[in-house]
Amino acid sequence: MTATEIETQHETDYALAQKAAQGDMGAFEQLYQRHNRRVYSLCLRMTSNVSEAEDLAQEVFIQLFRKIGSFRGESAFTTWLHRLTVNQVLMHFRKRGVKMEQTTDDGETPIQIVKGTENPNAMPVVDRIALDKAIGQLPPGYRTVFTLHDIEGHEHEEIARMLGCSVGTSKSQLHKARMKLRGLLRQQKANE
Amino acid sequence: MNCEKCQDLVSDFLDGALSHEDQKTLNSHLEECLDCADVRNDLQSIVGFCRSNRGVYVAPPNEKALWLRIRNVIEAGASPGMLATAPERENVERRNFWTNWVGRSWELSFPQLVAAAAAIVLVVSLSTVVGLRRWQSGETVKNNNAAGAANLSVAAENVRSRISQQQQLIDYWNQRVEFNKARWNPQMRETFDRNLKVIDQAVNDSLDSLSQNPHDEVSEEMLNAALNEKLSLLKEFAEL
Ligand SMILES: [Zn+2]
Repeated sequence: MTATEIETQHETDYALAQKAAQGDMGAFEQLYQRHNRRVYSLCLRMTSNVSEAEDLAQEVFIQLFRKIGSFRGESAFTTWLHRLTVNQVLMHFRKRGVKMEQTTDDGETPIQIVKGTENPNAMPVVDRIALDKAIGQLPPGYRTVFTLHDIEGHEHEEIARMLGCSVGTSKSQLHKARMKLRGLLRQQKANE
Repeated sequence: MNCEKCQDLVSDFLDGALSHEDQKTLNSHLEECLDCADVRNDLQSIVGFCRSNRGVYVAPPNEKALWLRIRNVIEAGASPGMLATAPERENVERRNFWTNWVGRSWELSFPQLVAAAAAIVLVVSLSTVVGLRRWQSGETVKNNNAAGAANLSVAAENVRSRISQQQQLIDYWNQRVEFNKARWNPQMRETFDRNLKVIDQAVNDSLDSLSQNPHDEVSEEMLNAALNEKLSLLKEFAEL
């Protein structure tokens, strides 16, 4: 580790961002090292695809470098970067023509009310692998709302603003996403 | 309250968004309806798991390689449009890439690469008279100009570090190619293997010559050029 690297470890994100805005690649690399996992994880959860997530994370950091001069330190750097990441993924979805709002469950069948013992399998204990697998099977619109709300902890108001939908839509999409996940997790167990 | 209404409210209940009134009605239904209580419990464990795992992140498969990709693009000053991710890329454009590689004839032999690399070294060296003289006479490091010699060894060091970075990128793209290879058709495989063979031959030739003469900058540049070609071959096939 060089002296500069040791020095930059104690610097705030804002200080590093200012240096990076002056073209300091060392400072930018520090920012990358601090935040790449967070950015990549969000991309991965929203796309459920490793190479798409990597490409998106790459694009996020390139955009970050271009826009870093406009970061004024008013909000936390992580919040700012998070917002940049979500925008990047949503833009990617739009370019691919992904519908963000699932009107019905799979475009065909409306959400099912659980009744009687139609599925005798109890839902297994939730673990990372099973949940990630199930999330990967969700339609993108459900996956996005679920990721933003339950995984990332955003409020419906923020999600509605980001997606350009109503709070009611965000809420109902989330509920449908959770119900669908429940079904998928039970199914996984039944198929074991 | 019926089951349909109850299950509609479960999410709001878990998020603490229900009115006191609704909460009461919901609770009394949940007490007597096992199905709905099951739904509540299941959603609760999904939401609870997510909450308790907030802030747990996954690292990208190769953090270092991803950083090198990012830095390369930034330093190259490429426009954002050039960074289209695989699914965004037009099919037509992809087909062009593809035909480009199919139709590409790899005639570059070792001597030709040496000549090409030599031209690069010549241009680089022209800036220092020492370098030029050294290039023409084929002298080794015995130089009376100490500063000139230092410059040259810095240049060699740069080439070496670039080569090691390229090797990391190649490893990364190789993994992606391996991942996609299964769904290629035989023609694609044949084209890829043929091109790779020629490039690898050039890589090996330059490595051989470097092992005999470790300070040979021409071979280093040549290796660098061959690795660049390998990288672009892998990149393009990784997207197919
Ligand atoms: Zn019920």
